[in-house]
Amino acid sequence: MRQKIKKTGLYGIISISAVVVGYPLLWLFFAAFKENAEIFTSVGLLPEHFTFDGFVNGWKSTAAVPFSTFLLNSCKMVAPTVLLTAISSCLVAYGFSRFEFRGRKVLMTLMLSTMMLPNTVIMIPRYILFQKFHWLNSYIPFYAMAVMAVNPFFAYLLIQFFRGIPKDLDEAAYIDGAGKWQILTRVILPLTKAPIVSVVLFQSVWTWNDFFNPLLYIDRVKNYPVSLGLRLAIDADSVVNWNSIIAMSCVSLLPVMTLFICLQKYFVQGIASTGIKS
Amino acid sequence: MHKKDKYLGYLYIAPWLIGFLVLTLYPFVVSLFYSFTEYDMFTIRFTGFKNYVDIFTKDKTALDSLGRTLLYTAVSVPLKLLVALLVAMMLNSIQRGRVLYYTVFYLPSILGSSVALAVLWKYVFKKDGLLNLLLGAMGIDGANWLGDPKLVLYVMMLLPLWQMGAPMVLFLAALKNVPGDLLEAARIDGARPFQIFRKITLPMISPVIFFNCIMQTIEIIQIFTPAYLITKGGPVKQTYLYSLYLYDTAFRDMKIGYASALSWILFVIIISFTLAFFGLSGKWVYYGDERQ
Amino acid sequence: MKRKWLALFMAAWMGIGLTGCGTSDSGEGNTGESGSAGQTEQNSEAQNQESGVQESASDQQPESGSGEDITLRFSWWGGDSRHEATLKAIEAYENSHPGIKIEPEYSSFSGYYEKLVTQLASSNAPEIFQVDQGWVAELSARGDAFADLSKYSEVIDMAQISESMMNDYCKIGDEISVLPFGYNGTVFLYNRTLLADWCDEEGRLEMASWDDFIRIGRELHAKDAECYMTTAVTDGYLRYILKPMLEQITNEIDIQDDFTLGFNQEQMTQAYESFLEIFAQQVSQPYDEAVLYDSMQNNPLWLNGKIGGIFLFFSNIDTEIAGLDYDYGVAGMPMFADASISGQECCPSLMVAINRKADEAHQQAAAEFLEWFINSEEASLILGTVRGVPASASALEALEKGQMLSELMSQGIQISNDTISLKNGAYELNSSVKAVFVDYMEKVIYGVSTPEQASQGMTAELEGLLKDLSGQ
Repeated sequence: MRQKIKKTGLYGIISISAVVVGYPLLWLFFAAFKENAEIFTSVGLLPEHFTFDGFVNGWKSTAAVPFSTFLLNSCKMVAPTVLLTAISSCLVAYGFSRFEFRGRKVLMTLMLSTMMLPNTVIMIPRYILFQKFHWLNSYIPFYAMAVMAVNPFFAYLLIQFFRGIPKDLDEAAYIDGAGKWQILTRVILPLTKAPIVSVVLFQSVWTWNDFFNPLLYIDRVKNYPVSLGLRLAIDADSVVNWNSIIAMSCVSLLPVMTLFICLQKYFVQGIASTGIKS
Repeated sequence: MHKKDKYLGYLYIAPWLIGFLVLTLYPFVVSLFYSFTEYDMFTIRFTGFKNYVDIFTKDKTALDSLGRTLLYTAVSVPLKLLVALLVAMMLNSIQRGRVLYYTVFYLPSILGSSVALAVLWKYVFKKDGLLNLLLGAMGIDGANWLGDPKLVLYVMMLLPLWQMGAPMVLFLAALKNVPGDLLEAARIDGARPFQIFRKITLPMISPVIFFNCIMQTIEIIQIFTPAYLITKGGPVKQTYLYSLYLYDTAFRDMKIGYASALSWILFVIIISFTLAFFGLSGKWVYYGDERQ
Repeated sequence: MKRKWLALFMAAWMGIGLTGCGTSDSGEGNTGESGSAGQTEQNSEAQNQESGVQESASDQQPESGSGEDITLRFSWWGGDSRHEATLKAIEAYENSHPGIKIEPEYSSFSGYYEKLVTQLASSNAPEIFQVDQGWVAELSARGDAFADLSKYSEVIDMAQISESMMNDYCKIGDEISVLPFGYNGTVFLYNRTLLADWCDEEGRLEMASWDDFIRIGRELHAKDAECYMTTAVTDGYLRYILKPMLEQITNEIDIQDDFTLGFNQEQMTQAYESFLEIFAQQVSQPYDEAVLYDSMQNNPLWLNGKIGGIFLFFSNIDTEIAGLDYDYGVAGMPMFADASISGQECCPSLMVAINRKADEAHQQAAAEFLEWFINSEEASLILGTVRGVPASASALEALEKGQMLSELMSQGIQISNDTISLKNGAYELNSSVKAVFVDYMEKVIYGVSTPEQASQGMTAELEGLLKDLSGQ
């Protein structure tokens, strides 16, 4: 009985929090079906007159490039970036967490410190670098930064989780004849699925939403990702169809949201781990 | 450890090492150099420590925005982590409707710094907005949350709290790794839930708490979105955070040299925080690979 | 054994790296011939620049000489309508000019300047780019960004643009640096439905002075507490109300081209005091509410017809009333009783430049395109008023003949043309200068500073900034 009250209480709290967090998003979703003026004049959730204009016009997009192109471009930009990030950060994290070599601590601090200089001053020299490499106007800058684990967030995240795995397991595998590579693939990686999935998730979200980097590196509108495409219509001196912008914002959330829904099972407390003992 | 393993270590970190040398080192060195110059993207003049001296002696805007940013960070980071941990623990202990709840709590983070964010935020916090409507229903006279210089910074602190998906997911990943049998055993021994949390859960997830602490500090101290997108730093500069000032200095005033100096000052501040965190971490962060 | 694994993993690693890049290449290819042509073009251009940093521009022999295709990059910012119309115009031009390819690079305003500056700094800017009037002086002084268009006076018919506009805004020293797309003036667009009580029989608002303006506002607000005479965005309060007030007091351009101020502290204080009246008398929507909106299109009071009128550029009239069902009229700036000029901003709205770093063949082709784009009837009819009311006489004539100007806009142009006003100083709209104005204006509105304190602080700060900008 007490258990039951507790459970109900828990659900009560979590549901209220979910409403607080989620209601604005729900409003945003319905705003996509509203007339332009209603978005800014009414507090209500549901539109007075449902209109699909936002979706129709937004999807057609203006300016010769349909919205589907932006979505496709974003996929082309994000998918390889995410895959490469996951691989490179696993390798780097393994290197830092399981090997003793000279300068390890210094290098790790150095790696972490590269996150601490504001992007504003790095942007221009990096732009010039990419220009010299002839990488502008393609997604190569994103792939290259992923391959080379330029954002140390991911490698450091995995380091933290790899360090949580007892070294006894490594040694047991070593005694069984496993090499360093097998220890990584057969011992460590299977135990750190959740953090690796987080890397995939975060990198997807961040690259998908990235605005300033694509803005600098990509000139041609037909190569724009969603984050840039969405802003094309925003101008102080023009009529802005906010319902299209909001509608397309919602559409552009979908792929990442779907990814999250597919991946969320990795963050669920494994039933197996609670069941084993009893 | 075998001798050749030494070099294997370098091999594994090679992707980052190469990336550092090719893509990161140059911008770093160049910006450090710029910080000792007067550089407007087109002409450059060496001025020694002038930029740094000016920032600390003449530039009230810089010091004000730095103070504001530190306050913002000091309040937002602990709150964000606390909220993320609480939500993660709640989510960790439910079964039914899990997917829905997970998604709802993560969605604000997917929204990122989308243009829709500004529309949404104003809808909630403007004078006749959602929040004041609710407060009005309870008989409370709401404030002008985004227009009042005394309130606006605090209202903006809620944004990272709302978008706490990343640390929440990491807490979830860490909680998942806490062995269930250990918790079960403690429960059978009659330990209270809070004791279990303190003695078992907390130490087990301490590396992730530590990670989140560092990363959120690094991220929030450089936070740009709320000011840039929603308030443009106003009203009366009350949300003019350091990163926005830095951005304006670089691109509006075209003072790249000065902006570089501002950046390196922030760099030193962040790295001192981080090193302090590391120094304290030995006391409370527990790693599975350490032998006791 | 171990080594073998290692080799395998390295191979796999490289393989992934390569496929990653490969995907992008094929992706680029997919975008069609134009895309890849542009790519080669740009690469070769980049190489040119790399090897030719020390050489002067004229030494770089255009590799795409006569007969070969020329690709021009053209960048602008705007919203939907501007993008659409411009793309249509480009298509028309390409059809009638085989061998010329225009690569459009368009975006929203946010980030455009940052990108342009980065491109200019790394010699990678487009051949043709749109600029804001406020950037011209600084980009020219610091960046040496603009080609001298007087070289192309044979190609571009500059007589179509009024001489005063050429002198005031386009020439820097002996060079013609930029050309205007459109021009603008400040007018008051009022909601005739709401202000019917204060209009004469023909529906003209009876407002000539600031006193009238404030009186009507007070009466309106007393009649319906939800209504205000006016509102603006932050920038609007500065450019359309405070600065005109200041200029009406001083009779001077407020930031002079010799880097001095056109006003003294007393005059500024006086302007602030008059400006504060519109809030004190509840003539304007309270600033702390108005400040939340980036444009009238988001301001519920304006959308709901609760605002008497707004100050705006006549080019924006159609935009601000789109989708609204009220009756509107246009009036001129209110003036102080003893003022002799209106203080309205009458200036080019958007400008265009040719990249100085481009080689001669490209510059020539760009000039030919601009002549068509700015002056021709064909282009004008496609472009309409997406870049404001055209500054070119021939383009404006084409629009008038094609009846493409709305009646309100024509009235606005007429009112603005009939008003005596000063030009904008070269650094008046410089974004750093403007930021100082906005900063102190807000301090005064919020009561953080008194008008006297603000005038004093602002004068000092502006003088320092202007000294910086003058390069001394």
